[in-house]
Amino acid sequence: MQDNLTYPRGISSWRRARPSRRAVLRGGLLGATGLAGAALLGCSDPDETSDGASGSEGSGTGVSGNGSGGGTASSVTLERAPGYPGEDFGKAPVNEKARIMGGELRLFGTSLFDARQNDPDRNNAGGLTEWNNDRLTIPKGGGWTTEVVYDMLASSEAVDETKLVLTIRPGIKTHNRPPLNGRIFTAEDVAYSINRKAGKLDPVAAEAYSRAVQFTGLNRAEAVDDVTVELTFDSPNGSVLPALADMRASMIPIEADEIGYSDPMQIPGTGAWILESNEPDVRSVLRANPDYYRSDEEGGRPSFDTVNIAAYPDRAAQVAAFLTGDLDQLTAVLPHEDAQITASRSDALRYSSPSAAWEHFQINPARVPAFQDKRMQKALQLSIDYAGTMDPLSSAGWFYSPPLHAMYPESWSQDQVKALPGYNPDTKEADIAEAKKLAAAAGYEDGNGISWTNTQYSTTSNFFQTAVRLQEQWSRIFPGMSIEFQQLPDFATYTNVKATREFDGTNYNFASVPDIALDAMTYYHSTGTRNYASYNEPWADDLIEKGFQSMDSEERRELFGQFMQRYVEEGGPTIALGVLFTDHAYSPTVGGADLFSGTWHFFYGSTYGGNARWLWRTE
Amino acid sequence: MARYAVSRLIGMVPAVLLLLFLAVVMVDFIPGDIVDLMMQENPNVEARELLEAELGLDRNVVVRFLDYARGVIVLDFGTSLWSDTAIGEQLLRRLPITLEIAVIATIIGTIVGVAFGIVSALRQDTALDYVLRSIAIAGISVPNFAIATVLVVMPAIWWGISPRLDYVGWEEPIAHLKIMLLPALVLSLNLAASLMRLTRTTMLEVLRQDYIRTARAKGLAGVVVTYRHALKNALIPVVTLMGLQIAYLIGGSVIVESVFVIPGMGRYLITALNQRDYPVVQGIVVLIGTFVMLVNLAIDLSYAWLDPRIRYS
Repeated sequence: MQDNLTYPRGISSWRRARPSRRAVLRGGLLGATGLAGAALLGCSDPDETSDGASGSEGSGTGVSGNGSGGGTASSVTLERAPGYPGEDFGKAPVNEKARIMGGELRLFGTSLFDARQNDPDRNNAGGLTEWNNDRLTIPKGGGWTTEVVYDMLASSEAVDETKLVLTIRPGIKTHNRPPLNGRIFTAEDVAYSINRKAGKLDPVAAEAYSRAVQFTGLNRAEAVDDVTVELTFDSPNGSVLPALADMRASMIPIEADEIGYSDPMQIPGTGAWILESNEPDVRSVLRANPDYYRSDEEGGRPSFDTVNIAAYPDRAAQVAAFLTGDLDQLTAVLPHEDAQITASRSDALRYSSPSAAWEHFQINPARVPAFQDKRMQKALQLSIDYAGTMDPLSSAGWFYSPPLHAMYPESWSQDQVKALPGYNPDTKEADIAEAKKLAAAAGYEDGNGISWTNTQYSTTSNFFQTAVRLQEQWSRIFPGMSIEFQQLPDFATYTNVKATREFDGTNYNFASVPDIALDAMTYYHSTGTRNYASYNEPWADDLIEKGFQSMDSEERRELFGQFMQRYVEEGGPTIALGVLFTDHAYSPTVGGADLFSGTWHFFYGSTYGGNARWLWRTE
Repeated sequence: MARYAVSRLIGMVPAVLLLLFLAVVMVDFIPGDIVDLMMQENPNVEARELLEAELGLDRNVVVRFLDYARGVIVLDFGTSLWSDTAIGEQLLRRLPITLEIAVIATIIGTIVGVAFGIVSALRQDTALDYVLRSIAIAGISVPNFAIATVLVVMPAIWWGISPRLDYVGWEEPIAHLKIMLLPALVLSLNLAASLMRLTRTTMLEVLRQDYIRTARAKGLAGVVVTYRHALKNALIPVVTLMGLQIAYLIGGSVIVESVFVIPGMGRYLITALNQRDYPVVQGIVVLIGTFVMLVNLAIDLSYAWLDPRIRYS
């Protein structure tokens, strides 16, 4: 074993001191250094922080406890990605009121637990496995970092660049119902799950799982004994532990495939919740798993007896149900709903944070010849009024983002981005003048000869608003450029247009995963599954691949810094416009949401709601 | 009349077959693709072809039509591509819910629409007539999804109350009726408004007929003249309109069921459309299409009861 080889997220043994439950639950949020909580949550090995490369830097950054107590909720200054400047990172009130064990948590869903979504390796989002099963790692809760921490794992050891040994916690049981009847979940199950995700069992089927790329380089996963799995790589993969934190990366018992995924009531798992009843389009009720492997002291064990998920497909119904107290949670509050909540449910606990998604504009050079010229791509980037475009989209705020989400420790901060040409409001006039020069040099003076269509699927979306604002800006700067709109009937049509690359340009947002290399591979690598603009630069592929293989945070920071630098300088078809804040509202009698609130909130599981096993009822 | 009904039923067979064919063919014309949704826009061609084959989308339209028609004949509507459940079972579970809303809406809409239409005709050009006509125009103009949304959201904002949205079946009859009444009311508004206007118009026309004048001259009571002689004759176009409105009611249920969280056919359809769950969409289209044909047959047969002069041959 090489001591100096660490995975970039700083995961190490989490069998450390046992602080009080509250301190545990607060994790990295409380305490002057956050060390105790962070250590408990499986990160921040002091040995690793010393080299600055382990990614466990979050344990000591920007943490200040609120310590308010006394039954009132108050805000804390949240932990931030290392090196990320700025202070206003949203709100995460702590509900300090006394916990009441048991009870029912009332949430909403849309369509519940479709068979296809119940297969974790085919799940887009919202599948039963997010409740029914567990992951080896999860994003670190209660922070604005991109660290991941152990969940089913007890430890991981990088033997060398091509061998990773994972040890799961002993004694994890499957749900106590036929046909598994509570058998112990073993390393065989883990190896099976990982091989399945990586396409080792069915390579073609795995291609349909767009996250199979996360396991690039994996040769095989093998169980060594009941709790130990050895991953062997043909080429290094520095992103495998964050990949295992993806909300779709559930571990399944080997028998799951044989049992099938059609009947949600039969799907075996180890998770905190067991599906008790399921009425399609009405409600699903899950009860707490009494044999769940986590203890109450360490957190993440269900406090509620049941979770009742009502199928509310309509946003108005969701809002009304929250306002009247029939729901405990309203996710992704929209600006106009903010006033409604303030007026009708002012005691609601409000959590806001930078979204995991980044807004962007994308052109398709294959369809618009003018945009094949890098100078035109750069001209577009220079000419956008970023503040004018983003300000109206969110009452909670937004911040500048580089090509790779600004919340990654390895990425650029908002201030760095804001100082760049095009983004810098102070140099806007000069940047626009430069943009016009570039367009003229490319043979498109004032945009003459350029005609393209911005494809949208909803006139009520942020994307359409942004598209209109960009059209207005560019029609002033490049009066000869013709921009029309194509209005598609719905999202399904839009996905088809994107998949077939039959669009000239579009506004949309991409949801990042908690790893910069995986994001870069997905959106900018020539083989990226969501590289809709068909960006194909050998130098970019090279940097991204090196970054993906790197297990050193500093090296990654350097490599992805180089990538972003050149991408912004040269121009590219995907222009990041910024990151909006998202806002979630909870009933005042729900505690624990602060434990996972943050940029990677929705990767905590149960898709956008945050996993209910971290929540509890309060007075 | 029996022979007429049988001949109409036989005549429906080619119409139903055409409906089945259109239901199968339309899949090719709906923009968007279930494969893209399932693959999350992943462009991998091999995986895409594999998935298309798995879903049965690689078969040509004739094979799909024959397979589908064969299944429908034995009431097998296939399996949902997303939920892997038998569509027939889902339709059986959801159809009564939608029909229940539609029936309640029809009863409310008919009673209110016809009654207001009669009152409006009898009080022509009075303040009451103007008020009722204005209400009717509003009922026709304002889409039911807007009314439904306002009814759900505004009381929640103003008073912290909202219609009950957690659906329960007949095992709790009072709660069930409370849940169903409001969506049915919303759905009935347009029907009531249309019926009111038509009833008023036809009543005014009938009230000017000679036989009405004769009835009055004979000294018959106003109520008898209005309800026995005028209304029955005025109702034929009204009944025709009701038949046409059945399709509207089913269509309106798509939105109303979504807003009021009712697990009926409309909700099933909108989910299936968003997910491009083609067999489900086909099943619902065929069922609704057949139902509308049957309702129109029933309407045609009712003419003889309304007007004994009408004979079927």
